[in-house]
Amino acid sequence: MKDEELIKENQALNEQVKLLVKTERRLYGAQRTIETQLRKLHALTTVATNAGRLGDPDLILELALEALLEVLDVDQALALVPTKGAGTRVAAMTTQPGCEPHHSWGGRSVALPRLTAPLLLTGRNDGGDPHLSALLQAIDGYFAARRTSGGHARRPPAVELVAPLRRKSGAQLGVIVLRKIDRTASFHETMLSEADLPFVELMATRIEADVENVLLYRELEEFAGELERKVAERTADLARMNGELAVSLRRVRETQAQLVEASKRAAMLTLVGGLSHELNNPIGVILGYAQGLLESTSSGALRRPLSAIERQALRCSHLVRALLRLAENRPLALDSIPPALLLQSVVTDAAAAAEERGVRLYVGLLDNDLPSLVVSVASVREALGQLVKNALDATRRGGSVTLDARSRRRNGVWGVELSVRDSGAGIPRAFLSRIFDPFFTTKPPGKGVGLGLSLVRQSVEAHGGRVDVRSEPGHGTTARVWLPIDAGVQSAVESELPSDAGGAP
Amino acid sequence: MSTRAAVAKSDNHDASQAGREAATRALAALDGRADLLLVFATAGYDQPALLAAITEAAGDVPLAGCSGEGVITQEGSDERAHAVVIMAIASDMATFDTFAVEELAKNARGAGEAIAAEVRRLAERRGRCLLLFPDGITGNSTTLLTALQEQLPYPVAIAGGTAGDLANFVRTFQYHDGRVLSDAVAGVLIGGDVDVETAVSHGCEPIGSVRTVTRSDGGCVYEIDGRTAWSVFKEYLDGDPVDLSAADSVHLSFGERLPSRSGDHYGQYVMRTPFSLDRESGALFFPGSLPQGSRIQMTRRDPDRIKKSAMESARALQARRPGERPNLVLHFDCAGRGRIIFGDRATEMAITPMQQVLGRDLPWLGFHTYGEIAQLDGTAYYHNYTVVLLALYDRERVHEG
Repeated sequence: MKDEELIKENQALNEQVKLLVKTERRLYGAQRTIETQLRKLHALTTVATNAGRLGDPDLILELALEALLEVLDVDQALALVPTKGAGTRVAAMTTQPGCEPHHSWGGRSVALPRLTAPLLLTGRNDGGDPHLSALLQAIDGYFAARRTSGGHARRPPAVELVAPLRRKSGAQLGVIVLRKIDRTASFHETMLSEADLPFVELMATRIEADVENVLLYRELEEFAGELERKVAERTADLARMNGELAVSLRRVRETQAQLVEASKRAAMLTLVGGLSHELNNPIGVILGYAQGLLESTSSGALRRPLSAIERQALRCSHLVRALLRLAENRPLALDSIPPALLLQSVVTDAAAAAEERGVRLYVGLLDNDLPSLVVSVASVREALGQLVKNALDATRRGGSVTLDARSRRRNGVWGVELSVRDSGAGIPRAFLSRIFDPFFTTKPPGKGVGLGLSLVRQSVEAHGGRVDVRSEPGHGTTARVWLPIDAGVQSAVESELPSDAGGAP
Repeated sequence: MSTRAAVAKSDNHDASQAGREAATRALAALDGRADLLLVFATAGYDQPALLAAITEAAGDVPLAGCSGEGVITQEGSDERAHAVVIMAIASDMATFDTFAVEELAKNARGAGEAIAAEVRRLAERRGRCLLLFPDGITGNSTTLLTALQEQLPYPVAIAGGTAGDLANFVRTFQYHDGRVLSDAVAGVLIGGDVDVETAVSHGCEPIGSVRTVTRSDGGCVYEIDGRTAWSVFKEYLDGDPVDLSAADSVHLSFGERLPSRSGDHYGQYVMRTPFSLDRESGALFFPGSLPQGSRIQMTRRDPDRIKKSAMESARALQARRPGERPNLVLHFDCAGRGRIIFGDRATEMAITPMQQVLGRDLPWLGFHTYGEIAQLDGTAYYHNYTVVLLALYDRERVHEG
């Protein structure tokens, strides 16, 4: 009885052992399954983790192919993408060692098949799809081994898997092709099968998402670049138009200012001209009688007032003549004269006055090849004389006044710039803008009427030239007269010199 | 010059490229001189093309080896369909005589006798070790070893492993010089002023009651305890399988009790794995043979025990020559102890720990076998589920040490 119990107990234990062994066996199976799933998960994670920083669809495809090759025990993996010419190129490829392609890609003109889902092919059952068939044959040729006897061993693989890649828009992105060359696999390697399709589809989705991101980013960059380029173009256009507008406005203002100035001068000169004519005759009568009476009388008591009348009448007469000259618009009588000769004649004219004032007056070192000027010599000489006179008046004893000439091009016109530079006290900045105004003077009463520089400007501008004055208090004054070489054919454009430039009054 | 060895591996899928790569690298590491090539490769290769490339690269250097379920180097184990490893050995201390005997299935005893005759013929070599690489799915390795040991002229260490394919159990390959054979045993007699040490361990746990083989013929076991062998085995399998799968046969085996065994780390059972099933008769075929009347017990593989006993083997080997460094190590490990049980961690769990004990920089070569050959108490047995380690030492080194 006891033996029977022991036998029963032994049998029960045996049954428990069997159950435990079966359970253990299942656990081993589950372990291997989990291991396989983990490898697949790792492959997906590797692609997901690293694809983002690759930034290149081909590199993403290569990464994914390497992961697939590792997990699925295939010999060759390649990614084919469409080309612009409706053909196909190998965007990425990886193989087991010894399974590399032996030829260049021959499927450049082969169009990609339009698949909707991954496809497993064994024994080349391409379902009669001509595009797929052509593509697979191109791949066979790509990998065909070279035979030593010539020709190529072009044989289809034992099993292959083709998975389409699409963009979100539905556009074709490419296909992935996985190939197992023959059916030799170890106990631990698995042949491609229908069971692998979901994983490959998952990987394809992963690739699509990563490539989509890269392409979207590229498109965004291109769009942003285009936008920036257009903004830059419009900005440049705007800047150019603003510049043109500014120039136009400045010209309008200048023209307006010149117009106003010309009108004022014309009105004033008309007035001056009329008034001078009216005054000239009475002054002539007064002067005539005063001089006649001075000749006919010997009375000392009368001569003194008569002399005063004659002196003041002469002064009035000078003033009236000056005013008449200002109002005159006589045509110029032009002559050719070398600048050196012109300057020297001016120095000669003023030499006595300079000597009297104890001021050195001389012509500077001039270039030998200065061109001659064609001008109204008398007019220009008088203008320069006026400038020298002003300079001498402004210069203390022991100082100097220097005359220079040099070639200078203004607004495309060649001319000669004549300058009168003194070592005087200079002109206060506040006066510079007014020195060309008629009757403006800083000299004491009786020393000048303030028409000198007005006459200078009138004379210079009558030659198509420009005059300006630069002065720095304490550092002397320089008056510059620019004249075109040939005043008769001068075509100087509007001067860009400051309109408020003046000369020593 | 002492004995020098260099190992090279290729996993190129092209047989010619793989053979050329591995042979060239191994030879280059020995400055082009080799007296023996040991070659193990997985069965995915075009085997003749592989051997042709190796012999073309190495010339007429004696060569022995076989196909395996996987290959082993210091880099670990590789059980893919395309991997070849080569150890080139150059030595003025040792002699190497390769041989091969064919028709193993037809006459395993004759094969053993032929090898013994070869050892006798080479008596002047002072043979120290016989490395044997029999076909793993044909013939009876137990009969082979019995006949061999009966006729050996003098004691010699015997170790090796049986050739495998891709766990298809269809055809394995044995390499002898430039030839690729099947249903044969290839081998090499190592002689001269060298010594070898071997160690073997398994990782199986007996389960259930002790049983008796009640009807068998060589390796073919018809009945156990009066029932068909398949019905007994199937009791431990899930469902009602109609055939024996490789996964099942590496999970479960029988342990044949060796009454003479003492209780060392190996234990008292030598493992016997069924390789195929005769579905009609319910008989199981064991390449290791299970004679009628054998006392057997079902065993299950135990990963912890596999690791533990492997480490014990490595330590036992090291303990026999404390402080000495072997010139090379050969490693024959059952196909059922690699990826099939440890998955992706096979190398780190079952291979590297032993290498860490004996030396990570030693020339180390091996393969995953269908069966192992190693001695217990001076007698060579055919084993299953074991790891066999063989370390070779130059004798001068022994004296110097």
